[in-house]
Amino acid sequence: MREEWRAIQSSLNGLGPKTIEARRARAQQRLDDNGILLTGPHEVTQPHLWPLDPVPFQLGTNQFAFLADALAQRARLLNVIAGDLLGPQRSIREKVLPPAILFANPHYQRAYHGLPVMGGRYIHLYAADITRGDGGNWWVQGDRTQAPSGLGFTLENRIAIGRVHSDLFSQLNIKRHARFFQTFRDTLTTLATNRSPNPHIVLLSEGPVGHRGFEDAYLARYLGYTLAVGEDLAVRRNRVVLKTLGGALPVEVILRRINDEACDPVELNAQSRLGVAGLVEAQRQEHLAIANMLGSQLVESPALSAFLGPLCRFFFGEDLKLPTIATWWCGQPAQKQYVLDNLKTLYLYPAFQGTGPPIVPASLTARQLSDLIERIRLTPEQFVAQQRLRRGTTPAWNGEGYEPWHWALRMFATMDGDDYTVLPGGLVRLAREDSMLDFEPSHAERTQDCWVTAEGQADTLSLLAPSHQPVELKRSGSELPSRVADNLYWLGRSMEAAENRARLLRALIMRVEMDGTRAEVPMDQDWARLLNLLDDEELPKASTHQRIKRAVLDTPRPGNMRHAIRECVRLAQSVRDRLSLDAWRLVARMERYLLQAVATNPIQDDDLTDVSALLNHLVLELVAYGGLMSESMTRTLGWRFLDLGRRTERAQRTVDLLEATLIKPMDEERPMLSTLLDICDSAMTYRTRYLAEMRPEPVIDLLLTDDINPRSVAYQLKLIRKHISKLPHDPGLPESDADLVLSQSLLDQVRSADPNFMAVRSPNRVNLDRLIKEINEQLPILDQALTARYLAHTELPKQFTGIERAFPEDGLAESDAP
Amino acid sequence: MIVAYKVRHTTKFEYPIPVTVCHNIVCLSPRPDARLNINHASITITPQPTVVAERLDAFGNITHAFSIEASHGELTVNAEANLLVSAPFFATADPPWEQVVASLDQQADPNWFESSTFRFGSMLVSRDQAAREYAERVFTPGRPIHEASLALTERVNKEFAYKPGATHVDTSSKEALSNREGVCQDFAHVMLAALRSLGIPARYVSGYLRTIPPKGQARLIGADQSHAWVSVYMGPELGWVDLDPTNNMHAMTDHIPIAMGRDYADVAPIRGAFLGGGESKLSVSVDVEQIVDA
Repeated sequence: MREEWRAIQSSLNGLGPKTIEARRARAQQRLDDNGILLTGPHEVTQPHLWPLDPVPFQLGTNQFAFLADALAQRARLLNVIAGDLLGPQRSIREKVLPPAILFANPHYQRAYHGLPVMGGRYIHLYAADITRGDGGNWWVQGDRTQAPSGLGFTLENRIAIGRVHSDLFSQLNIKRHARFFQTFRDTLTTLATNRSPNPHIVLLSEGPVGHRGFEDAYLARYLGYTLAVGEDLAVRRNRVVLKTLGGALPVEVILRRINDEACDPVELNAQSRLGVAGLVEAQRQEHLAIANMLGSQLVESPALSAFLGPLCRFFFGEDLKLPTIATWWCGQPAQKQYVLDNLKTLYLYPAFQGTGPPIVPASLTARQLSDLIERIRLTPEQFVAQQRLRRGTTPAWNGEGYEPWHWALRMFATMDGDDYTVLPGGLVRLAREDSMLDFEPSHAERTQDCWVTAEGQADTLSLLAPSHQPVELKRSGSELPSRVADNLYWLGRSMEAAENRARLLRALIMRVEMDGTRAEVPMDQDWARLLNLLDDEELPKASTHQRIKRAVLDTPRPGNMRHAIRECVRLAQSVRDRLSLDAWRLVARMERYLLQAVATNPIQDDDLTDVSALLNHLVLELVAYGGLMSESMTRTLGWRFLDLGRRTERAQRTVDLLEATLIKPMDEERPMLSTLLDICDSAMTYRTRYLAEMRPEPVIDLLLTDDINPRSVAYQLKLIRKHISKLPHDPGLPESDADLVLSQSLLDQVRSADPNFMAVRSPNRVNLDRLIKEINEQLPILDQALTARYLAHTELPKQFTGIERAFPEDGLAESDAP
Repeated sequence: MIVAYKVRHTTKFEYPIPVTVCHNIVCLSPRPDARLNINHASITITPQPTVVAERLDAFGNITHAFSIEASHGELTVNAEANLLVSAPFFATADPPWEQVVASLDQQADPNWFESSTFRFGSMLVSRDQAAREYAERVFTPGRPIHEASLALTERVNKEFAYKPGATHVDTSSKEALSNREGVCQDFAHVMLAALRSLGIPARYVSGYLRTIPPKGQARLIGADQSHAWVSVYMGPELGWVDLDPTNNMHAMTDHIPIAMGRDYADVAPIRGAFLGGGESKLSVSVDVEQIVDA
C-alpha cells in the first residue's frame, strides 16, 4: 500500500463511514443541482456524467513529478510533430515516419498545410489517457490534441469534492488547480492577434446539448469567455466577428471545442453546421488564433503513437519518457503479419480515429472476423492494433468501506511559455469491469477526483475568488449574441406561461374543492370558461378532475404544465452561461419535483391532493425564480430580453383571462372576480383599496388599466415600451422605431381606457371587447416587429458545389464496424 | 508539337433572392506545369469582391479565395487564359508495375515522397475490394505499367457508358464503378480507384478538351466543356503519364490541363457558402479556341 494512500485512508477513517457517506451525498447533490438533467431532447434524468466517488484517487509527489515531466515532453513532441507534418514534413522525407501515416489519413485536409501559426504553437491544450498496468508501469493509452474534453468535469468534480473535503485538503496538503487554469488563460491571451491585454476570446461549442455542451458552458463561465456556437460567429473582411445586438464584435482568439474538420464549411467539411464559413481564410490572413491549431487532430492518430519513440529521438535526441501501450500499425508488412497472427489477443482501432470504441476481434463472429481480415489486407494502413492491458485498481467507496475498482486517468497539459504545465490532478474513471474502461471516453461507472500531494505549502490561488489585479470595469452588455437574446426572450415567456398556467390550475382546483363537486359532475358553464383556457381540446369528454390532473402530469405537449417547465429547462440550458448557478438550479429543481410527482401519482385516478400541493410548490418556485432574475441579473440587454418575454407573455395571458370571463357577464359575477384577482396575484391590493366589496369596475382597473399594479396589462405595456426604448436602435434605418411606436400606441390606448366605460353591459361588455380585440391584434404585431429587428434567427449558409459527403476511410467506410 | 489556345470559362450564379454574404474559393487558373506555357491568365469576379486572395494550394494549383459582403443577385466568375500546350514525350522503358510499386514502398524511387499523396484513398476515391478486383484483371503479374495502364484506360472506356446526368459532382468511385456509367469525372475516379488500390500513384487532372466541329460546321462559341482525366506515375523514366479514359487516349495537345489533385473534390472549380439566395440558377460556358498564328 502506497505511503500517500495510507495518509488519506487514515484521514478518511478518522471521519468514519457515516460522515464519508454524508459527504458523498452532498458532493453528488451539488453536481446534480448544477444539473445535467438534460442530455438530449428527451427527459433523460442523468444527474452527472457518472456518479462521483467520495474517495479521492491519489498521486504521490514523486509519481506526479514523473508524470508531469513525461507528459510535458510528450506535449512538446506532439507539438513539434504537428508543426512538421503541417510544414516541412522532414520526418517523412528523412524516412522516420512512413508517408502513409500522413497521406493516408482521411482527416488530413490539405487546407491545414502551411497555415500561419499564431504564438508559435499548434497544441495549447493537451490531454493524455493514462493507466498503470499490473506490473506497475505507467502507460499512455491515447493522446488528445484537437479539442480535449474532460477539463470541465475535472474542474466540477474538484469543486464538489473540495467543498465537502475542505478539511482534508489542508490536512493533506493537496495541490490546487487554479494555477493551471490561470496559465491556460494567460496562454490564450498571448495568442491574440491584436496584442491587446484583454482580447476577445470565445469558446466555440457544439451547442448546449449533451455532456460536451454542459462542459463547454461550465468552462466558458469559469474561464470568463463568451460561449458561442457557429451561428453566433461570422467572417467579415477576413476577420471573425461575434454577431451581437450591438453589432459585430471582433474576435481575436477561438478556443474551439469542435473537431478540426467541422470548423469551416468552405474549406473543410462542407456538411458542417458547427463551424464558420471563411474561418480558415481568416486564420490564413493571421487575423485569428485558434486553440488548438487547425490540423492538430493529425497527431492524435493512433497510428502515430507507434512511431513516437523514433520521432522523439529524431526531433529531440532523447528517449520518450512515457511510452504508449504497445501499438502495431498495419501499414508495415511485418507489423501487419504480427497483428493478423495475434488478432484475437489484440484490440483494433481505425488508424486515424482515436476517439471511437475499439474493435474487439475476440468477440467477433467467424464471418465478421473474416471481413475484418479482408479489410486489413485491402487497406492495412487504416488499422492499428493495441495490446490489451490489465489495469490496476484503486480503492472506491461502497457505502461502508472500500473495494478495489479498475481505473483510467485523463491528465491535461497546457502550453506555458516555451514549455507545458501539467494539471496536478485529472479525471478518473472507475469501473468494476476492466474492459469497460477501454471504451473511452464515454464509459465508466463512476468518477473520482485526483489528488496530488504537495511538498511545502500548497498554492492557494483560486480563480473563483476575486483576483488582486485591477480589472477594466465594463458596464455594457451589448456583446449579447442575437441567438442568446432570442433564447432569453423565450425563456421569459416560458417562465411566465408556466406561472400563469400553475396559477390558473390552482384556482380551478380551489373551485372544485369549494364546490365539493364529485368528479363525474361537470363544472358549471361559467366556470368551464376557465377550464377551457387549458388548451386540451383532445380531452373534451374527460371529467374536470381528469382534465386538471392531466394538464399537470401528462406527458409534455404544448399547453400543459410539463411542457411549460420543459421549455423553461431547455431554454435555460441553452443560455446557462448567462444565468446564475442559483437560477439554473431552481429551474432544474422544478422539473425534478414535477417528475417525482409524475412517478408517484397515477394519472387515472381523480385524487387532486398531491397535484394541489405540487402547484403551490411550483408557483412558489416560479415566483422565486422571477425574483432571482429581477434581483440578480444586471440590467444588461440580456435581462431586457428576458423581461420583455415575461411582460409580453403576462400581458397576453391576462388579456386572455379577461376575455374569457368578463366579456359575457355572468349572473353572479363576484366569485369569478375574486378568482381573477387570485390568478393575477392582485387580491391583496384589491382588498387594501376596496375592502371586501367585489365590483367589476375596480377589478378591470386593477388588471387592465392601472399602470402601477405590476400584474396589470398597462404595467406590462409600460415596461415593454421602456425596454424597447433602451435597445440599440439604428437611426439610419427608416423602420427602425416601428416597435417603439407600436408599443407606445398600445400603452396609450390601454392607459386611457376608462374602467367604468369598459364595465358597461349591453348586455355584453362591448367596449371591453373592442379594446381586448385591439390588444389581441397589436400584441403579436409588436412581437413580430421585435423578432424581425433583433431576434430573427441568423440564416445558415448554403453550400454550392461543395462535396456533400462524409469522408470515406477506405476499407472502413463500408464496414458495419462491430 | 506545341498548340496555342485561348480559353474562356464563365460561371454565373443567379439568385431569386439577393445573397447578402458569400465566401468562395475558385480553382480556375492554370497551374504552372512543364507542358504548359502560360502567356496570360486572369480571373474576373463580378460584383467586385470585398476581399480576394490568390495562393497556391497544397498541390500547387492557383486558387482565389474571395468574399462578397454586399447584397448581390448575380455572381459571375470569368477565367481567361492564353496558353501553349506541348506534346508529352514517352520514354520507351516500361517496367513491370509491381517493380514501380515496390520501389516506391522501399522509398528508393527518386519521386517516392512527391507521389505519396496520390497513392491512397481520398474523398471521392476509395480503395475498396471492387476497385482492386477491377484493376487486377488488367494488372496481371509482371505486366509493364504503361501497357497495363493503357489497357485499363481502354477497359474503362469500353465498359462504362458516358451518360450526362447519371451522376453528381459528389458521386464516388465506388458508386460509379458499380453503376458503370457517368461522365468524365466518374471515368477518372474509377480509374484512380483501380490504380491506387494497387498502390500506383494516380492523380486527377481537370482542364479542357479542344473540340473539333463536324466538317462544314462553324465552331460553336461557349459550347465546350470542362474535362477531366488521370495522370499515372510509371516510375522515374516514364514519370507521370496522362491518360483519358473518357476518350481512350493519351492526353496530348488537345488536352489543356488546369489543375490537379487527388480527385474532383480537391480541384472543384468553385466552392463556397452563401447567405440568402434561395434556389440559385447556375450556368457555365466554356470556350476553347485554338490560336493559329501563335
